[in-house]
Amino acid sequence: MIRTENLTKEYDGFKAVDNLNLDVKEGEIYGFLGPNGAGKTTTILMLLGILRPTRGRIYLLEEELTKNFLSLKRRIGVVSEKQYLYKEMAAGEYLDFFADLYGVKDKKKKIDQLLKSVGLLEVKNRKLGAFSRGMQQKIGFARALLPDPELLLLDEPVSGLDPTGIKQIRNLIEKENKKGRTIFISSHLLSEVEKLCREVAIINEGKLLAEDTMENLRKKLSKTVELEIELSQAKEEITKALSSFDFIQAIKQRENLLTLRVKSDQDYRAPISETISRQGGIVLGIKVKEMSLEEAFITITQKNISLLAPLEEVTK
Amino acid sequence: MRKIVIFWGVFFGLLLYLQATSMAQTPIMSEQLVYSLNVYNGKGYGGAFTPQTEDTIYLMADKNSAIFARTTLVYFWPITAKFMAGFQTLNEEVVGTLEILKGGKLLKSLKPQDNSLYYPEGYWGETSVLSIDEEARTYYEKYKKAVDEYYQKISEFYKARIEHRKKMDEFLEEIKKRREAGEEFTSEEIEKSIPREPKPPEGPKFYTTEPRQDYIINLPVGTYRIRIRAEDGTIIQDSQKNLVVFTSRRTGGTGYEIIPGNRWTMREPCDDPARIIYAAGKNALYFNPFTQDEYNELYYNKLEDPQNPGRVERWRWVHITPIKDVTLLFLKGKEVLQRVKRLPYSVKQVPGATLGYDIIEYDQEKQPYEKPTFEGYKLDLSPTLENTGYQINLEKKTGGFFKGGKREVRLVRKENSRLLYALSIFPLVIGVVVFLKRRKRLVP
Amino acid sequence: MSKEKGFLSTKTIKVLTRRDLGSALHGWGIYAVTVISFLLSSFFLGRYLGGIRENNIRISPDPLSGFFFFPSVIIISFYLTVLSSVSVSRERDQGTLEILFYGPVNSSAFIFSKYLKEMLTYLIIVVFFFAYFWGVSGLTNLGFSLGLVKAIFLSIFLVSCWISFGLFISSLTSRVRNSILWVVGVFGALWALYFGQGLLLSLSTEEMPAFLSYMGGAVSVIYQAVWWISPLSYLSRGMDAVNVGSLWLYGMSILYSIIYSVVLIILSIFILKRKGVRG
Repeated sequence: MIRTENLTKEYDGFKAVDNLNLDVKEGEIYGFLGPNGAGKTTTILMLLGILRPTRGRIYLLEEELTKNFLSLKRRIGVVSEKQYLYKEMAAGEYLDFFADLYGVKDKKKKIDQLLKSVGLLEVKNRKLGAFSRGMQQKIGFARALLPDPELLLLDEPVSGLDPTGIKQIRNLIEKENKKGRTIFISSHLLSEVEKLCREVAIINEGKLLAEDTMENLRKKLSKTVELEIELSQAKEEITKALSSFDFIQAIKQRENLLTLRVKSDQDYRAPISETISRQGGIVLGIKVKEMSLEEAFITITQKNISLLAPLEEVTK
Repeated sequence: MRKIVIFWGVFFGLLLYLQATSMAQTPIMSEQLVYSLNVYNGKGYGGAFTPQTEDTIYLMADKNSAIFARTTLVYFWPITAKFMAGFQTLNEEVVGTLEILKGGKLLKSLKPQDNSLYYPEGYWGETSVLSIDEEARTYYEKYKKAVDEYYQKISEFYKARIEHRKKMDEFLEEIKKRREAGEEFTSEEIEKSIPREPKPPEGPKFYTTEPRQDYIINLPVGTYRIRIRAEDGTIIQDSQKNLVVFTSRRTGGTGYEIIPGNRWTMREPCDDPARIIYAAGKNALYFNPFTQDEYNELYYNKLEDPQNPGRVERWRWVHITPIKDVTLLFLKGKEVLQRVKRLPYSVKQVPGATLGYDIIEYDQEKQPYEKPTFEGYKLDLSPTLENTGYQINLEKKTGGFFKGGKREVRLVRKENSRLLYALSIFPLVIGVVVFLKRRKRLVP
Repeated sequence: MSKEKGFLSTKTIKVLTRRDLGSALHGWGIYAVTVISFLLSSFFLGRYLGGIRENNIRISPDPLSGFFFFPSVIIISFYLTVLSSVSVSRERDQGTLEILFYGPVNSSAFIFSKYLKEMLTYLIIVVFFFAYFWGVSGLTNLGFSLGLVKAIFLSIFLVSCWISFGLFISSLTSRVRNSILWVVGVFGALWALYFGQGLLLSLSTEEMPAFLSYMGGAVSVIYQAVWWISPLSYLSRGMDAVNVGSLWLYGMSILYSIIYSVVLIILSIFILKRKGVRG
């Protein structure tokens, strides 16, 4: 449904998106994760042809974006973080305008159906300027669904919504996915993506850090603990000895502080401190850091990519 | 904000300075080669000069026009925004041969010729003729002879008048004596025997200017270039000019000069047949029709004075001769409402404290010592007339209408001017309807 | 980059134009400005009729087309210029431009629809003009002539220049406030230039101090360049054509206005593409 090949966007030498390769399969709910400024929106704008990529190719709905650009966009629904509505228009008028723009057939029936499904039928003739944030988001959804899109691109769809609003939008996404629509969700909230997506990509500073199933990612991120060991003196022999254990996935050393990513199936502190003592080291203290999935995501997007990278690479 | 204030301050300061500069400068004289012109303008001859700022001279086609190059002092006169020539201070003839070129090739070489202007109806008459060479000299001789004869007659007249006074004194003395002697006379007898006063002679009816030397140009329509070659073969500096020779676009039209009854000094031209005469209330309009020719505005204006502005895209009608022996018809459709003859009129100031004047029909018998103020075809418009569908036209003595003499006359309804403000707000009414219709559709 | 296929989708333009036009008609601006311009015309007309009353006579080929029509056109043109100058920047500012571009809208369709909307707004005002001047003619007996119809027809092309100019400014700016400041600034500068040029022309070069003479030359060169750039020139050229009554000038005025509008619309499209929906 969406495929990018070495997609790159540069602004005066700064790479907002750097050789991005995505592959979103049909019928998926695909999470596109990254902190603010990671390059998510830039990627979406390139997918929509609004921004011109510096390099790379984009394939949407099995067609390269250079071909039938406008007709391709008629098959895509987009919901942005903010809805930017024409506030002087009534909800019904607004959807009627977009229905005409997308060439929707039997538009009156369709508009009523969509308004009903997002729970806004009663306020069809109310001006959009009087709508709450949640209502605006729902109108955005209704607008995106108007052309019966094969692909829904959602940019931070629940940002700023109250819990009820979040739940309503989440239900809506699931409902639309069940109808066979491919959904691409861009978000900085792992918790949100975690609940909806089967496939996830993580982007930071324009680079793709990981693209995997949610299950695999969860395994990678949540089946480990982090041990911070303070030593009286750091020695190379200690690191060497510790790396021989298969329950240790990654080792990082900064002066007298050793950070180990260790399997969380049992408590490995005893064998670790014994090994250190054997190598002539003195353990001054051990801190255990158990990360939630959210924390793990935040950690990895704050440059600690080691958690997602293969172990060998990190130890080297 | 501060920058904007500074910018506008400097801007307006500069404007004021420019304004002050334009008003306060004293004229600066500069010596220039100029062409003095005596050119045919469709009805007679008019004079002007071409300063260095003007690079083109405009002349009428197939008519003699006289031009000559002179060195004089030229100065700018801000009141008229034109250059003036000080011929009294410096008027030096530039001697040589005038060369006329067409497409870069020499077409003619002209030497100065004697020429004079002959005014058959006198100096103030409307027609003038440029005569050249022998004819100019003959006309001038004829005029000089007529003037000499006139002076001779004047001299004789003065002598006769002295003689007459003498005879008159003698006559009165004799009458006195005979009365004292008891003789009685009737006024008829006195009238019969009174010495007749000599009539003063009339001066020459025509006028001719003294012949002078100019280049006489007579060319067909086209654009040319002129220059003066000195006797040593060189081209005299600043003598090169473009020459545009043109003719009328249309001839034989009919134009009007209209004198409004309540402001007789403000005469309004109505030359273009497309022009509509708008009038209001009770009106007396005095029409003076003319035959007219149509010329390019720029060319004609520049012909009259090379410093005149004008537009090459615009056309103007030029009155040629007054149309006198016709009847002015005031029509509504084909129905003739008034038939008007040309009559002389006198303007009489209203005596006393009330300012104003009356225009009365001139009566030679009642006003033997006056001349009519103007002549015209008087049209009385009544406020009771309907507003549209009126025209004026000129009927020839032989029947039929004068070409281009028709004009539309509309009587405006000035009393409705306040209703115009009410009319202006109708878009707002439409706006209110649209607004209410939409509000009905929307829920609060 | 994606090629925008279907350079001008008439359907898209139609839908965008209809929405914008509806929005304009539902607001008060168009009615208020038209009324202001008509009130001004009515004021001048009142003075004109007063003049006829005073002199008993006024001779004119067609007074309505000149004295009373063009002041209205100037007011309405300026209003439409301001509207068009914020048309792109407002949508950019509010983010609605981005939402439109998510769908089947491209720069060409968007700019063209904005142009069309302002032109249709003016055509609606033209209907008001016809109604107003028909009413004026009935009330005053000043003729509703073919000359007036010609002047109104010509005004469509002249106003098109102003609208295109506004669009061009709008495509360059990202904020509504900046657009308005630009328009007001540019028009202020143009008026100042015309005024300065007029004043300098009234002076003799021989009478001027040297620096004024140089300045006059510079102003003259700028004026010549601006003569083809400024929408005011196109309006003044059109008014002149009506005033002179030259069919040639009338035709040329239409032709120049079309060329000017097309060039500025193409430039606006190009700038919008380059600058993007977010400015």
